[in-house]
Amino acid sequence: MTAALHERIERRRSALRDRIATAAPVLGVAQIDDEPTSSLLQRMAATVRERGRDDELWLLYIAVSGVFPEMDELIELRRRLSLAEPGAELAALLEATMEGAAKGPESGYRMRLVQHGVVADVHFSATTEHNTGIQRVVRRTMPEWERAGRGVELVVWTDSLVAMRPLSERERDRVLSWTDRRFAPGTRDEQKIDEIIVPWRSQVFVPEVPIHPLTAPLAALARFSGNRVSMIGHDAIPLVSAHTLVPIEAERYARFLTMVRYADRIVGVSESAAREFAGFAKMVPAQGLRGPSVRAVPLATEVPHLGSATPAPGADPLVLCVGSHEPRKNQEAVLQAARLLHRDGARFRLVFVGAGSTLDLRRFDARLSALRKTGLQVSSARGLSDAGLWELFAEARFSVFPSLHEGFGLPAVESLALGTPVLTSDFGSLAEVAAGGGCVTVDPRDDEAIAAAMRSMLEDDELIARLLREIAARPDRTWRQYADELWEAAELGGEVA
Amino acid sequence: MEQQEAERRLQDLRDALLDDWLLVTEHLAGTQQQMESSLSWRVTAPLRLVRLFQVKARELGLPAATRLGTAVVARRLGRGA
Repeated sequence: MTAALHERIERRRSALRDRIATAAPVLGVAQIDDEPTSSLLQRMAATVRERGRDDELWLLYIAVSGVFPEMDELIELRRRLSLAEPGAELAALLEATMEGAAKGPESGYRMRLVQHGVVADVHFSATTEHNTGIQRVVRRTMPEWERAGRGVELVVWTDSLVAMRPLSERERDRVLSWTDRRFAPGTRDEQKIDEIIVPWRSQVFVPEVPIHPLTAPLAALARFSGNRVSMIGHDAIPLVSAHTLVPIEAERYARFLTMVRYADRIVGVSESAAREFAGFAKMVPAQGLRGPSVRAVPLATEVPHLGSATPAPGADPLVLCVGSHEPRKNQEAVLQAARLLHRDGARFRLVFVGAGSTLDLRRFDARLSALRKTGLQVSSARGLSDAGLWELFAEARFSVFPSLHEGFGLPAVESLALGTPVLTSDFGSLAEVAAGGGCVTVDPRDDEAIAAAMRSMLEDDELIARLLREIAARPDRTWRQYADELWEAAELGGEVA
Repeated sequence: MEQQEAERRLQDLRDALLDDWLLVTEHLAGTQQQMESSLSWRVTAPLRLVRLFQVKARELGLPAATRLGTAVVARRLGRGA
């Protein structure tokens, strides 16, 4: 054996000793001075086997391997232990955890238990620069909880995606200080963290839709660990509107639902999103499971008031359509309505804002280019800052957002928050948004209805004046309110037995 | 005396078991890490991505594979940590 290999093995041995010494007291195993590691492990395995508790089995697996198990791995450990001869539990334990411990360097990491606390998994928001709907929710809610002194332990997953770990300074910056960053976006994170975090008798809060590789260990955590798992329910689009997405998205979402079925609580971002998750929760008891309780806490409507643009004198009215380029956002119906209006002589400018795949955007741009040749004033704006987008909202006579399926409908809410009336869909979360005033609703599957509503909003000044009055009367819902209500609805202040 | 000897031998066996487990897990984890940090693994990364794209294009069709590929690339580029 080379000296380097020997050193690496000793590092693993030392970390293993540290982890099992951390776990032993909560597993009810007293430590004896100078007891060999193998002997302590044997006693822990025998104790966990005898007590037969899944949560203790889950913790033992992590203490030995440094890795959060998937459901099959934990069941395999349980079976091996039950077959082991008394006194030979160690062999069963080591056999069942070998594959897990070999998944990455985590079995050389130390372990910290978070007991009777709240652990929030903010992996995607902390490790990427994306800032679409879900990340905005995380980056507005977590700072509010931080300010309120809620004592939440933020976690991400290790590079191998097999265990929770604390955040680096840059990652904390992304989550807690997004609007006032200390570190330049995109700068490389050199901070190495060789500690894993294990929630124990705690609340685990999952505000994001976890990336695909994390759904299996999170499902096992929700099912076996004894921690209470609460999640934000953003939408069920990949299931209910699967035809609008690539097939792999629907498959991944179905696997994500494995985690949802073992969760304790889902807090929908709208009544509509909550209804979708409640529908799934009703299916789960058929499998002999309780399923999560579901509530709705609508997201905040607060946006920074940065926009102040006004249309140039004599310019035709601006109609704004904001949303990523994907079929469910229904941009094609807006284009069709615009063509109908243009044919009938209506004058307006139509601007689309939103990202999309290169191929989709190229095709869309080619369509716009062809339509411009017919005299239709239509264009596309991309890569706008928030401030640039707010200015467009401020200039627009109204925005049009006839999406076929939304969890919440952020573009409609942002438009209203910036004082711009909205033409939107007459069902789902968008109808909820519209119910507060300032909107005209239509069946988004009816191109003629969209065209008729656009015509009214372009020509009827009294209608726009009424909508503006309704907007002024809408209550402003702040992120602080949302964060407080979310904390209560997810019951994060409660004790876990 | 015999019982002490038996216990000592049992402890030796358990120690040996743990030593083997540490050696094997280090070897398996190390092999994967070494492979992924090797020059050949990094040099062939674009080829593997192209191959993955071809497979997905056959499975899902070109537009869907392009959307998927764009999302994957955006996610990778977005990673600062």
